[in-house]
Amino acid sequence: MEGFFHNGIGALSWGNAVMLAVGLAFIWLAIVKKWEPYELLPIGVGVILANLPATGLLVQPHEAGGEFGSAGLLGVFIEYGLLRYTILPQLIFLGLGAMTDFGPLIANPRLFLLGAAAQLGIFIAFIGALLLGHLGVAEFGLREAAAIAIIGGADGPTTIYLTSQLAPGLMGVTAAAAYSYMAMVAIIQPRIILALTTRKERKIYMRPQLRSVSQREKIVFPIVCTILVILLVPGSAPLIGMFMFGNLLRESEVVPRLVEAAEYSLVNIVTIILMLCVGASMPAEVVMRPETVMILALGLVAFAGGTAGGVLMARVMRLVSREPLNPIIGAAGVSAVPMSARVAQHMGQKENPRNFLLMHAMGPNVAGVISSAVVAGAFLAILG
Amino acid sequence: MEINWTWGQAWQITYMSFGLVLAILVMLAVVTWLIGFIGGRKVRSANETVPEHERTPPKQ
Repeated sequence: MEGFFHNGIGALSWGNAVMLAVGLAFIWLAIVKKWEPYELLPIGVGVILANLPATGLLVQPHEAGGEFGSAGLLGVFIEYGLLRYTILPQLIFLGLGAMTDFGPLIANPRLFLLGAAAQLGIFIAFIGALLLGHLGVAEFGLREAAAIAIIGGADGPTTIYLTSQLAPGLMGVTAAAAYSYMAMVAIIQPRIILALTTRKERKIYMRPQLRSVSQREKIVFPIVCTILVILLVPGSAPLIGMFMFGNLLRESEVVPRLVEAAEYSLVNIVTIILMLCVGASMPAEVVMRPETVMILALGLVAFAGGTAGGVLMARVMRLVSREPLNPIIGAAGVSAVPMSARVAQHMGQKENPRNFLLMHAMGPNVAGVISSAVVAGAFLAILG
Repeated sequence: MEINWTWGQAWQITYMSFGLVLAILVMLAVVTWLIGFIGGRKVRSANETVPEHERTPPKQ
């Protein structure tokens, strides 16, 4: 009978209460403000479920001692999908590859450099996190610093993948930060672009017509990319391999049912599970620490630094390029696809109504996805 | 948390990783350009053996 009256009210701490409010805030942002609803809505629910005490939902199988029925649903997903085997972010990348069109990048390969330069923010945040650790302000070592810095890649699955391998305790906060900053791209990036470019540069007109890219090129590209990148950075294989596999399914045009499954069913199911896990990785005792604020601040530095890196590289390329290159598209090297490309489009048209930069910006945008996966692979190779 | 890292290690990781990303992306840019170049040459040589009205139009 005692169990009948057992409830969570007595076990609810102030930290839990604050996190319940955070979860509700994520849900509000998703539904009312429509900020990344596919991510923030399940994250918000995950946060709420993680902070309602005595549910058993987060008990992982290895904690349950092998007793049948004692592991929780979220505990099972977290242990097998993220911590032990890390398969969920890889499956998301398969679906993302099936949705990605590399045409604008193949048509203008120099845009790869913008994707690379936009990873600068990751390394700024890496050093910043280590500095905080060195000063004794936070307990950030090399692994934690890498896990925090990858927020600057503005790629949710990559952030989750790397953090779950290097610093699983930080996964919830870093992933929530990454998706939140991705949702705020339209607020963060324009200011940086305006600060780093002149009006004359922002008005540069780029012809809207890219060269047409053949299906053969679109088929060869993911195959070559997979082999080349993975030979050089084997640690990037889970992400790059799945990304390019999904893309090859799409570009082959012979397996439409598989493409449809990858683009819709697979991505949707994995998104539900993965984002619930991300939210469930944010119980109060993990999040309510001073380090959380520092992680959020460093994530913002990484994001801003990446935007700056892409824009500055674009300015340099403009000087040596025979064809006009508007530096605004450099900001799209931050792999928040397609939000940062849309920011570039919007800013470009504002400065010059004739300009249609979206397709040009998609080049560095998708190059940024490859770049951030390579960075993650490099970090794993060195620190994993 | 590691407690035995040095700033030398940190900078080495930083410039090696960033350099690796840049190098790989430059390689990918060159390879992608080659794919496009070879694809364009195949179209041009294929066009030389077919009647004009059946030729693949040139890339824009």
